[in-house]
Amino acid sequence: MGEEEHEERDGAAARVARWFDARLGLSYEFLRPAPQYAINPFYWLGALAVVAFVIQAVSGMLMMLYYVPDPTQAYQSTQFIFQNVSYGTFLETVHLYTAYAMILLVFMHMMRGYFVSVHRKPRELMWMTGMLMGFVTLGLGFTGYLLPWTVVSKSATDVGAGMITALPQPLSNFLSFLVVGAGGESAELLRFFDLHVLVLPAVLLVLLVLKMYMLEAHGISEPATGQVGSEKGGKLIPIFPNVTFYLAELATLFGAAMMLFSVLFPLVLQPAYTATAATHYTSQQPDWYFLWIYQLLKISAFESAGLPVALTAVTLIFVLLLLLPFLDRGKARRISQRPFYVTVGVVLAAEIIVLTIWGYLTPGEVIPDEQAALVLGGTALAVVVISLLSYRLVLGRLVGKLGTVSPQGSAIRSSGIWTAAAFSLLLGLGALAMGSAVNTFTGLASTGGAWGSWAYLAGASGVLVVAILATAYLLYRVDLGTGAVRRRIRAFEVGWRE
Amino acid sequence: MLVLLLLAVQAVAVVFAWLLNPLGPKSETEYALLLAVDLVAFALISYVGRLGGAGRNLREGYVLAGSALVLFFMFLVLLA
Amino acid sequence: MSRRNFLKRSLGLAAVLVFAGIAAVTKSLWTPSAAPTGGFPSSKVANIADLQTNAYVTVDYPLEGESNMIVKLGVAATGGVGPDGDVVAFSVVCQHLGCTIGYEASNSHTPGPAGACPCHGSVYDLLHGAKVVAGPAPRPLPQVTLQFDESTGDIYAVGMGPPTIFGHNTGSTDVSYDLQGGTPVTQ
Repeated sequence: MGEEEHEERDGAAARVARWFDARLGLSYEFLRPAPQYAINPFYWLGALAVVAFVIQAVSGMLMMLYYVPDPTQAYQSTQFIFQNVSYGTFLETVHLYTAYAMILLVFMHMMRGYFVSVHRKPRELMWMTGMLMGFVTLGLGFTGYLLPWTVVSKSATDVGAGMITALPQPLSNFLSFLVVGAGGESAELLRFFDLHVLVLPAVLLVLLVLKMYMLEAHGISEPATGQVGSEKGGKLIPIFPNVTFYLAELATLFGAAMMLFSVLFPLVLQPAYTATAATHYTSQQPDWYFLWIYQLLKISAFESAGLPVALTAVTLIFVLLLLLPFLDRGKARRISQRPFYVTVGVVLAAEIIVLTIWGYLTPGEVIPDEQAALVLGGTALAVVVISLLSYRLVLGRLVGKLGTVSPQGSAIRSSGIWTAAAFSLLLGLGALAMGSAVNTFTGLASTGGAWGSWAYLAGASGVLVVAILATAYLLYRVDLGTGAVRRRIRAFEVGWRE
Repeated sequence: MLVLLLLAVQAVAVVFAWLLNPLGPKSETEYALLLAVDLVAFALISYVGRLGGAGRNLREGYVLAGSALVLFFMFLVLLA
Repeated sequence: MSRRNFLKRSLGLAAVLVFAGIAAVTKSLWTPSAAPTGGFPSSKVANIADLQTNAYVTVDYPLEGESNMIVKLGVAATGGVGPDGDVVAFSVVCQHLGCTIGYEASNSHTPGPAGACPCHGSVYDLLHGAKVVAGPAPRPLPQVTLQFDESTGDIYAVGMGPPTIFGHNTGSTDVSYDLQGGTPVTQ
């Protein structure tokens, strides 16, 4: 029989492997083979996030042996891990950086999915499960941050917990009790610890199992560009061993990157939290992944009474993202065919990045409304204008032809290139002007203004106005260049109907 | 060939990792770097194993980059 | 061996080596942590006027919940304080397997009072630094370093002698391990 022939030829290792296989069912194909196009790092951002989670679990479990979740011992036990436990500093450093990496990966995974439109039927629920997992990941970051009980982390968490109390009433009480407990720091820390170590990871695992199940049922989503080159995704690659080892390569490279970071930037424990130390610490702010929210809240229009408004707005952003599959109901998946949603997505990403950087530049400062309008509005404007222009240049080719592929891709006509160049130059000037305007406003606010500053401000605003007008003119010219006002309107309609 | 060399590097890295005294002042850095060597060497072997055997072309760039990374990390270990 | 086989086996070996390398981090689990720096607390444990011969008092030191017995032996002893040099204090946790010791004013194995463990019969000679005179215990009981304030009659616990208290890196002679794993006593 075939089996006996095998056994004669194979060595001991193969026999052992076969013994396990027969019992564990290792070679049973319960994961469907992957198409060739899936051997691409962009398709594995989610998987890398899971790898990061595993690293978190292992390093967290090793640290849990020493950490004591009580305010009198939290800092001391954390310090003990840093100073006395073998590999303690390494564990702490890896845990923090992998947490950051996990959040970044989750964000990139979401953005990729957004721009490639994975949330179309039948994957709407996968998108929503993914968003929920994203919230849980942020929750893990929030709860974990408090545990070392340093001035920085306790202050940051107080900011967050304070925001919870600003939510509308029944929600606020419920969330407060869930997260902070009946009161007192002991209860708060213990709850944060339990949430961080057991509840949130359990929820995450359940959601992960759900998502993996759906992934198996639906398969990996096809690329939006349709350049796959064949039906059904082309050549299929078996999960074991090829795809498994591809994942292993990505995972080990990711692990090596975490090692490098932890070597280059070893963590040093911040000072401990005491009530007196906290009163001297004026620039309290959440960790970077929440900084964009905090920066929004720092705008003076949202101070005190306006706080619920801001919080509602942020919640709304999250809810809208969650419900995206039901808002974006078009059929198109290519970026070139979804101008509205692609623009919205880029605006969102750009605003988050700008807000985060800005947050670092202005710790603890209240942001005047005009500055906020300029910076946020300017970013949005810049993105929308670039986006509109790109679509004008590109859409001219694809109007009315949803779903077809232009073999040469989208070659921009030479006049289009010059237009784009001129536009970029003007936009650059405009951005500089915006930046100067912001700076000038800040300067004026603090010093009270001199005649020279006002002149400078006027000049900067003037350049900005020129940039905007010139852009509008160029767009107009490009339209005339493509020859039909009617075509422009139809292209725009295509965008809106999607 | 390359794979044998990488395996040897991996084995050496693992042995050193286990010999480290965890309480030593530089041990954590050394452990992280040794683990990095281990991981990158594995990634490279896996890449060669996955694609090289089937007669497809390996991307020379990846092999070079991977080897360079391994050597770089080993160099850092010696520095530390 | 064929190139295909070679690659397969190499890949398998490489995978094993990756896990072996990662597993080295578990040394964190079984390598005892470095001894903490920082001193022993100083704590008043009794007053000479309250101590009667052969009547021991239990007191927590150096951590909350860590019991020791302080007793006036009636006879001068190693490490004893007080006007007669006979007040000593020892950990009540047996060095064999952690049972709680009892006090015996006299014992067949010792010249004077003894600490006797009910579990497996270890006997410690309290006159001579609680060294083991019978039973399976491998080490003497840790002795509390006492200080006597003659003006007030107060007795203070200020440190621990080797070996470490049972459970604190048991068997080590580095007494700073006694300070790990709990809250030091105050007062």
